[in-house]
Amino acid sequence: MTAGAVTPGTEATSRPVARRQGRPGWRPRWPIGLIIPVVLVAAWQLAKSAGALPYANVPSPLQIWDSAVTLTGNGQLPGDFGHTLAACLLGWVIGSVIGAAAGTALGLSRAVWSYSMASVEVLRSIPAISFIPIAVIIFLQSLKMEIVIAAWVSIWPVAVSTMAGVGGVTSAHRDLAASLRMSWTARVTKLALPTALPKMLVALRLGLAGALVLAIVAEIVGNPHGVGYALVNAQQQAQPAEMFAYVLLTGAVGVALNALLSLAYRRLAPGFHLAETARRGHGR
Amino acid sequence: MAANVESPPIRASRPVPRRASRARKRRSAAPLRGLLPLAVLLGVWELVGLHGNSVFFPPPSQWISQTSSLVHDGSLFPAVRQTLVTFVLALIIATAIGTALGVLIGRSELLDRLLSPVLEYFRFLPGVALVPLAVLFMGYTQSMELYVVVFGAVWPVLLQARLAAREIDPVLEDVRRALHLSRAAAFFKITLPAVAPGIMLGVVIAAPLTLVLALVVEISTQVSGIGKLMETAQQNFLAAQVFGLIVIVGVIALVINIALSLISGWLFRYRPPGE
Amino acid sequence: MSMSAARSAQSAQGAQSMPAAQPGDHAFSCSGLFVEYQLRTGPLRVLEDVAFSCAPGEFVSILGPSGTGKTTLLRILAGLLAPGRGSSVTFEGAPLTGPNEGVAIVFQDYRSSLLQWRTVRKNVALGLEGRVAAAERAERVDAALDLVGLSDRGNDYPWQLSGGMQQRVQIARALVMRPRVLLMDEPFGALDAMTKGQLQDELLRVREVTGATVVFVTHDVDEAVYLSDRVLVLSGSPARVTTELDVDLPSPRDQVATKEDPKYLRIRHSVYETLKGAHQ
Repeated sequence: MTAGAVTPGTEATSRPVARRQGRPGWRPRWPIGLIIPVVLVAAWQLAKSAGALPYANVPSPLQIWDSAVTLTGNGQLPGDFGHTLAACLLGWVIGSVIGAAAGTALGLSRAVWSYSMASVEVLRSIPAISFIPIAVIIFLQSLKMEIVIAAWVSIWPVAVSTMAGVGGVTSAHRDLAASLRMSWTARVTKLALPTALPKMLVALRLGLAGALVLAIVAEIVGNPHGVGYALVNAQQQAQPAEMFAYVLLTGAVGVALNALLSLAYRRLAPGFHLAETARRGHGR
Repeated sequence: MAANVESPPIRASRPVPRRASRARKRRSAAPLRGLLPLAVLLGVWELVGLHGNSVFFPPPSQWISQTSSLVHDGSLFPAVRQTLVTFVLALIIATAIGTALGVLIGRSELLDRLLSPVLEYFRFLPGVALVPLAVLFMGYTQSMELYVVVFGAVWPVLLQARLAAREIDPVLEDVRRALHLSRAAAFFKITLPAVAPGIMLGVVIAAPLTLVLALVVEISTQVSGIGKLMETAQQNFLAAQVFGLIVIVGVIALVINIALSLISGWLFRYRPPGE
Repeated sequence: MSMSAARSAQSAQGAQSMPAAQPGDHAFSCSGLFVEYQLRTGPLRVLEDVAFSCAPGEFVSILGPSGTGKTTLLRILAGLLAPGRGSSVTFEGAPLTGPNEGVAIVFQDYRSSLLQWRTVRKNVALGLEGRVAAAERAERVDAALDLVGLSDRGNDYPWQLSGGMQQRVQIARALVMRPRVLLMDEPFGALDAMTKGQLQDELLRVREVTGATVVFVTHDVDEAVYLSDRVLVLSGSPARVTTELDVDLPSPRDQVATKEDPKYLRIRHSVYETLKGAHQ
């Protein structure tokens, strides 16, 4: 019983190489991934124009574009996104700093870890969203409330990863620090933090995503400003074009924030970026 | 057969530095005495609260009393059940869809390249932004909640499944062909078990997201569930009740974590301990 | 733990009856074999004008430095890779178009090619599932595990086994298919010297019991000379068969006695000379 035809050109070595199956060397020269969005949008517009799309309240791409232009012109769109981004970024920065400090303490001091880690685990497992009602009661409906929530959600991933990263300082490095008689601050800045950096960078990215989500949630639920509120408003006023504009732009903002962060990582920590791309697949 | 070789006398090994053993211990579970700060905080809070009458920070004892009123009027348990049912259902559906699509995309270089930008876009789009959209098109219904939660939860599972499917060792394809396994048999015997750890990771990432999305829908749309209770409590300025509900949500999240841990431990009992 | 000769003799009478190849048939035969890849920078020839044949029951080593293309040749024999247009491989007289049921392969990386989520028994049984009834399957798995000395580790998971044992599981998985030919891609490369020696001897005993043909890829000269009846040296870029040496050493081989045999040293010497020559 022989199997079917042999695939020509299959990778020769049976050593584990992270290459994909299929035909190696077949690499399209242009980014074919852009086809799908373009085709979808075009088909969407055609269907709408021809009246083929049954749902009356689904807007066409052109309508969405018009809405976006109008909202930008009257300042509403930029204002809303500005508000949300301010809350998100400020909260993220504050939370990350607190998280890094806490994580360093937890990672370096066995006593601190032993006497507070369980509390950290409990607090961080409570979904941040459930603190929004309390934050609204305390801080009322304000930007401050959003910043507090965004900061809260950013603390935990950064703290945990800093702790794990700092704890990865090898005994060899510790011996080196002792033999060079490094001061405590030097040990933290020159050994502990650089060791923790890769994990911290990953956590910072997570924290940023979380801060954006929670800022929007806080606006949907607690504070009538910013993108979240604009979305709810558009829903209540039955303005689908406006809503789609906001949603699509929010996605773009998410992608942009991540891209900016990646860019920053590439400048500040080039080795990290190379390790990440290498890990994601040799075949690309 | 063994030759009679003179082996050098074994020297007494140097004692392992204390630091190394301490570092190893850190990876085990956090000791319970770590709950001390939390306990102290609650205790001080209680003591201070007994004297004052803070609207913002009611003492823990008030949480219990104000939240138990929800038990008495019969609204707590149905709400908890509702949120949990939504959570479990949404997670299962999202896992099924995410796995199927993720593996499909990960195994096909063409699909992967074709869909990559779209996937990356949805990866970074906050799922919560779709809640008002869903409400607009589907109204304030339970099925709307399910749709939007599933949509948000699918992405972590899909992305992890795709990653795991991409990283399946090529030699396993050789093994499949050498042992004359059909593609169907290979899918269930080789591909799925190989991507299972990745899918589990996706589920672990998606679980808190699923809970958050469910709560968002409930808080913002008054669809029934714990979120709706929290929103009502907040609107009535019943801070103690909100705190009580926070504790309940926290306990639920903890139970979910433990459940996922147990499932993961059982599924992957073939792995060495510590991995 | 290595198996005893007594046990191996018993298993030989048991479930290990191999369908014998017709006398006069070559197990494998090919000539003018070449393999060429199309890279973005142009074509890359990995193998050129390779002539290879081996008789049933022979132990042939393919020897060469790392990266030469030994694995490529083995994959062609395994039916996993098609050679360049025009050249062809025949197995037992018929052209080879894909993995053949009479051929079993043992891969170099046991960690990746064993299924980590299956027990040892289930790993060995993989190729028989859906093809052979459960009772017969269990019997054959038992026999294969017995042959490699892992009868008592059947219910363990791969991570619980040492590297040498895991490789033995892979060999058992190959043997349970009752192959006429065993193709092995540097199977002992990742193991320490002592385990390597043990497994080499076990391989020779397994071959004695089953009568299988073995094509063995390695970069280790001593290993090639110790194990084989014939050594093919593959070298150059693109790779060709630069030398073929008959290893006329007495059987059964012994890790100490054989390696002190002057004939062994001579053959080893000429292999090294060939390799050195190829490098210049």
